Amino acid sequence: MAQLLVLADANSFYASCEQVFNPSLVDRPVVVLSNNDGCVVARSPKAKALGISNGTPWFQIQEQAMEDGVVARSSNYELYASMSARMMSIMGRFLPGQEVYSIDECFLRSPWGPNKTMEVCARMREAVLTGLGIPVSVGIAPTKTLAKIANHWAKDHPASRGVTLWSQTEERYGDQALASVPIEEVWGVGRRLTRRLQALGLVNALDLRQADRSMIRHRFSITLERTVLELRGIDCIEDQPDANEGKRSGQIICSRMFSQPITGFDQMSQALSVYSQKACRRLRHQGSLCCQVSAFCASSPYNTARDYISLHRTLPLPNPSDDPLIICKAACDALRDPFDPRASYIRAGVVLVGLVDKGDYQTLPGLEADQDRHGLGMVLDEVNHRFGAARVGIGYGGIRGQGKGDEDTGASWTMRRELLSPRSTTRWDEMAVVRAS
Amino acid sequence: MPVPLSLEAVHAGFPSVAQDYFAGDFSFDQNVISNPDTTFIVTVAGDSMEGAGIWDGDLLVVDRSLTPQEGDVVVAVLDGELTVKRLLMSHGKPVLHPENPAYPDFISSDAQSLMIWGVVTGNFHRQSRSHRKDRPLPGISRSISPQTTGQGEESTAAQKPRHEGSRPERWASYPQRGHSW
Repeated sequence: MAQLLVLADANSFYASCEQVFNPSLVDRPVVVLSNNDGCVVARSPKAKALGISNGTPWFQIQEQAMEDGVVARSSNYELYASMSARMMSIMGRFLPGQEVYSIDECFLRSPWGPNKTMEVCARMREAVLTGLGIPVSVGIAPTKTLAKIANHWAKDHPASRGVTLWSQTEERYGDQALASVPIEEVWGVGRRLTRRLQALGLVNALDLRQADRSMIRHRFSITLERTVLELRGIDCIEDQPDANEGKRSGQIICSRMFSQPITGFDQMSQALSVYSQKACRRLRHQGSLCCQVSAFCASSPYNTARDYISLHRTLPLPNPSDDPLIICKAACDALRDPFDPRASYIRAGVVLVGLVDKGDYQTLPGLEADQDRHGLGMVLDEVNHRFGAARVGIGYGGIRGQGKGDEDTGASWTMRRELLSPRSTTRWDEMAVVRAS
Repeated sequence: MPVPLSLEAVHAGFPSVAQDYFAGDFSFDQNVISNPDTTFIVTVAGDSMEGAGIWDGDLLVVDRSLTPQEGDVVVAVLDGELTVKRLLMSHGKPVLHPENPAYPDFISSDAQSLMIWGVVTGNFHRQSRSHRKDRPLPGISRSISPQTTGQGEESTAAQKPRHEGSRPERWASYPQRGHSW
């Protein structure tokens, strides 16, 4: 008896989080917008029913949506991260082998047979629903790829009560079950592959399962061959337990679009110092030093009135460092010379490359890395954590704006988040209010 | 490279025996929150629960994983808002009871079941005023140093040094080290 894999995935996670502390949003169409309130990135079931699709620019549908009573929210990542951590912690107590796959989904491994697994998953689902108010769907199957499909099935079929055991579904519907899954919905089949597979007449998951595996390996890849095997019930995609640990990445990028174009190097260095500080924080959290600092900025590619400008320059550091002052200075220096003060820029970013593990970097005394030995980075983080973002910072990074929407800095270019809901679990001054009247 | 801090000062005198016994002060969170994953802190607006000792502006600790029982103070959803009330049962039906005679009970209709958001496990009521003057009041002492009557505040500092040649009188009645007894 093969071990059963479980995929638990929250339903409309961002929209569900918005409804937890604001019950008036339950049963209403809710959409969550991306950075700068640009596009729809999440929809509640009611919003899906209205036919709003993910990725739609908000300004295009705003008028109609308002008429339909749609409630729009800026992405409240702080709240979502808090709810995600709670959700993962709850689910990890029900089954072993948790692999957090994204903010709203995780794989688990069941040591039990199908019936006991079903029962445990139903209790797990109930614990998250009552304990947090977040509905999750659970797919149970012998492989991850099938568990994904079972999970979609659970979402699409209310009769499953949120938990689908794939072998049961196949028993009932036979090959029809897999045939009903379009090939682009199979885990690991991207948009490009979809077109090539469709050209071969493989249009659904059943076709792919029945495809000749050596043909798939030769014409596509070993990865896609694994998908074929997984669809046949052979577990061959390994866990990535690093996902739990917050894997060390080889480079750190911090980049944003501006809410409005900026000009002049003063404003640019202001943006770069804020991004440097954020990047340093991630650098410190993963215990690395960086050898090179790269900075870039670009004007709008859609503005035909002006030439498109994209600048990118990398500076090596004299010694590997995690000192925010050194990194911030390097980022600004990188763009100082090529900078064209007449252009207007819509995005910029800082990339830290050549990362080395702090513990691995040892040299003779006197030749140590330019490490942040004053603990400046940590102090910046702690002050900003305790007193609110951008209370202190390097250079212009410490100028604070008014109100939630413009809290990163007082600068004119920071992210637009006008429709931000309260961060009820992480900010004392934004706690949920219960009425006693 | 930063020098790692030693936990025990090895060169100065005896190592502290107490070190083995100390792993940080107790945590208020750990004591009042049994299920951190499902516990939320919310704040109260209004005076309808004063009879239960819950005042306007208090912080409530709400555990969503607990099954609401009769008599629990609960956070319920009424008209799309979160409301704090005491949960009672009357003729088999749930009643939301405010702990203030000025407010009426809420009895749910048969048509819809009552949505309970979470069970209140405790509240924190701030006692001291936020704008304190911190002026010392007369007749109040803040330490239990030996009271010396009739002398000014300087008396504590001006006390006799402890280790002087002659042993204080009151020690005389205790058996001394080296004494055979």
